[in-house]
Amino acid sequence: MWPEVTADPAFKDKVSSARVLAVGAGGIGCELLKTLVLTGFKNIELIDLDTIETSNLNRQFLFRKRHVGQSKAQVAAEAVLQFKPDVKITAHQANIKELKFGVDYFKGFDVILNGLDNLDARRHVNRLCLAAGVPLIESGTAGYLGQVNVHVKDLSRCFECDEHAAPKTFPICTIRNTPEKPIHCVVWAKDLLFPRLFGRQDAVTDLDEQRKEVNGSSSSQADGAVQGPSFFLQKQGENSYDYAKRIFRRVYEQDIEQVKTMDELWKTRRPPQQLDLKEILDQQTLPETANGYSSASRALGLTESHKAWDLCENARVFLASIARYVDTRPDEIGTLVFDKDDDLAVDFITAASNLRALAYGIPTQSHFDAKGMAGNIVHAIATTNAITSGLIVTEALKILANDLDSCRETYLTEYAERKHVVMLNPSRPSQPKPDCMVCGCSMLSLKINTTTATLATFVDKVLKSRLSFNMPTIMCGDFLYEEGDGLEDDELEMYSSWLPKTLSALPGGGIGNGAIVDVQDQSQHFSVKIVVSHQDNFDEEKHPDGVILEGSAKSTRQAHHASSSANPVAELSNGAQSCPDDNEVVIVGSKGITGFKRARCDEGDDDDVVILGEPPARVGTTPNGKRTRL
Amino acid sequence: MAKLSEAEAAVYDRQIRVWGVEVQKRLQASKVLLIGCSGLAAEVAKNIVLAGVGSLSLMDDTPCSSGALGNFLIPANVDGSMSVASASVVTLQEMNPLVNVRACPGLGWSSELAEGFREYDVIVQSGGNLAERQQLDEWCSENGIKFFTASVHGTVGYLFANLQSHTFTLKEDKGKEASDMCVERTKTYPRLSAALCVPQKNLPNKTHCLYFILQVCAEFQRRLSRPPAAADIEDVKSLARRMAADGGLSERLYSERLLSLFVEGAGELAAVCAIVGGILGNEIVKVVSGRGEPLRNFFFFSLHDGRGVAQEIGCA
Repeated sequence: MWPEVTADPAFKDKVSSARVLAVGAGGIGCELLKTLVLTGFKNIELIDLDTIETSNLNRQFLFRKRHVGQSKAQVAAEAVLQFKPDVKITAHQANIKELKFGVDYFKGFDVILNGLDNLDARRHVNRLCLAAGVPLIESGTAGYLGQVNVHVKDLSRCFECDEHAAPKTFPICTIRNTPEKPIHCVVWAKDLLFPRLFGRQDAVTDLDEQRKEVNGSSSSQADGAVQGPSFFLQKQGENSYDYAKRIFRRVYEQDIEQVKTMDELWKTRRPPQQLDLKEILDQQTLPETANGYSSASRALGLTESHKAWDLCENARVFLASIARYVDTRPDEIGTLVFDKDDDLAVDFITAASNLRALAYGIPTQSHFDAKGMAGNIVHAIATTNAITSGLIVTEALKILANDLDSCRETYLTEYAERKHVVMLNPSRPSQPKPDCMVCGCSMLSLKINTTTATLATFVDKVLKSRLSFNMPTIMCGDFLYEEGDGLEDDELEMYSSWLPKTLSALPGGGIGNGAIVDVQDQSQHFSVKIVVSHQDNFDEEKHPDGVILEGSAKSTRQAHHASSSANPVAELSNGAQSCPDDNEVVIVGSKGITGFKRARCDEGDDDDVVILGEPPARVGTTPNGKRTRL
Repeated sequence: MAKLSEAEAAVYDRQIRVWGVEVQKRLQASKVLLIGCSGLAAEVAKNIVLAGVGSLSLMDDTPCSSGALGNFLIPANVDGSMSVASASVVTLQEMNPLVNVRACPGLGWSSELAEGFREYDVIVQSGGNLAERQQLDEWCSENGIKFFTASVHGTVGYLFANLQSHTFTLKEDKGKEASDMCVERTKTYPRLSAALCVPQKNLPNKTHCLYFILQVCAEFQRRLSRPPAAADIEDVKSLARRMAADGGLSERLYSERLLSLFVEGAGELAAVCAIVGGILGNEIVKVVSGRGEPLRNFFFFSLHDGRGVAQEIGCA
């Protein structure tokens, strides 16, 4: 019986001979590895691609300052052996998506334990666990919040039965013309302006589209018409500060002035105000670029990272960071991508976004906060990861005890005053969703403009980005497209020549309205059917990439239980076991209705991360403290 | 207060994003004493050293040779004559060189050592028998030092907090909009002896079953001057039945199964240490920073149902 079984000697033997795979050696991973060996686990494989960074040291307690730059998996394994030398830990500095960690590899374990930081890898591991029939324990933390979920094939939901929020994106028009929040300004600085100045010149950014658009409507701009992307490059012989000032005037004077002419934007909004560089700078001087500082803000004496700069300080940092890039790091210009650990890049983003915020009347951010926004930096503390590791090991023990009935998913919430506060609130894992595209049987529906969208868009934006395919094989009628190892050169050449073609123009009759596309991934033992419908236009605000992808209701497992699947409520039912063979639909605590849908928003900068869409914090503060559960 | 050094800002970056720079500075000014170096204590010590308290003192003269299983801070090849406190200090100091970590000689509170205890903001006792904990709790109450005690028995664990009168600030919750408005609040806490002798018939129906078990163990200790051991289980059970009947305890508040798990629980399960130690780590951070709602005054956790519950018992 659970938990008495934990004291049983036979069970202890079972634990010491069990084989477990821990995916991730970061925030959760370090804690997990420690808790596993202290519990008596002796055969552990550990996979993590990352190397140790200074900002890990506040919680990844197996690492020391001297380990910065080394493999997380290796160092974690060695550190654990210091206090538990009689365990076998096999460390891999590798990506879990590598083919060598295939379904046969997964089959070698009794349970898989995830401490991952991104949706893509989580989905990949989920698919392999399903293919291998090995239970998966999922986890994630963010600040004080944490969660642990148990996924056992056919008995509980798989990771992909529930929707997990993709990283937040913003309508391009908001970013380009009508920012309302600090984050809009940060995204503008990081994704539009920074690449234009310092990134690859052949990648046209949306900043230029604005120019074209505006020029089209106001022909009075004498200088605008001839300005292409090269406007943003330093001219031959141009002084670095002259160049920086020219950029300033362009983006904060001319561009703002132009966007103000788009009257329809300002009917319900307050229009922005141009920034007058001369007035702002007044008599203030600008620092020499070659004065030994790598950071522009430091060169200006702005060392308090938690205090927001004023208008003049932002302008000086903006100019000084551009000048510093072109003078001290000329070789990198044209290839730079934003890196949160590059102080100069963070200086530039902070100043550039704050200046835009000031033009639009939006609150400014400190260097610290702007860095957090631009770098998607996770909020992470040791305690939450420690608690989460305890919960993961608890579930792993239940699985080894073969006591699946005792398995629980648990949400860790923050303490909030009441006489009785449930901080760790376990609930039974939900039933599998019959219409899950991964563990159930369902078709997806895709709306896309088949006459303009290319195969490359389909592969990258739909299959890889939205659906986390690793190496898709696409079949539709006579059409076949493959990726992966083992392709002949001529095949590779043929397939890549198709990528720029539009879907409807592909060989074999094309992928047009009504086509059913079969997509498989050998590396994930995963396949899905996608029903394509053609749509000419998309609402740019809602669907900026011109793709609408939805799970469909057509599900064979569902149909088996509810013969008339037209009933929309049927989709909410997950009563695969209790649902009688007629039209009566039993709703067994569908999390979708009670607001308990888990949405994970991840893709942070390192380890831990995951956020609980249905924030337990909110649940924990409801007046009566009651949760509707199964 | 001085601003954070560059080294501090770099190491503490991710947590400053959770609790802010002001909390980090206050943490760095705090002094904590941890008595007992069990597996649970190791978790607590790790958590608050990583958080960046100003100083942490560890007290436990038990030699490494005599056990301290479950303390992951002690290397396997340690000199067996070294105290578990000294061995743990070496690892903790390496883990965060920005914290001043040291070992204090002794095994627990005594009137001779008391003078040296005054410098601490927070004293945490893990393990130890109940009489010792109550003594220390009394002394801390009289000297205005925040007191925590916690322990893990097999699959069961709990913590108790006595912050006396504790004033803290709280971000005002104005619904959806995050606000920077802080309100100041004060909470008062009863002493351990008072918190443990709430009449059974007055206990609310939601009271965790572990609370009554703590009362039974306190009574056992009072009678035999030692805490109950696994071999005492039948005696403890009959004591519990008598107490439940005499005290008019609601049946819902007594679980013989949990009593067995608690009394017979051998050692500390690492998973339970990680969980209780994590909760306690958070509380210490809240208390020394004076920010955020601190837990009042018991936290109970048991693997039999996996629930972790904070409850106010014996509070005014």
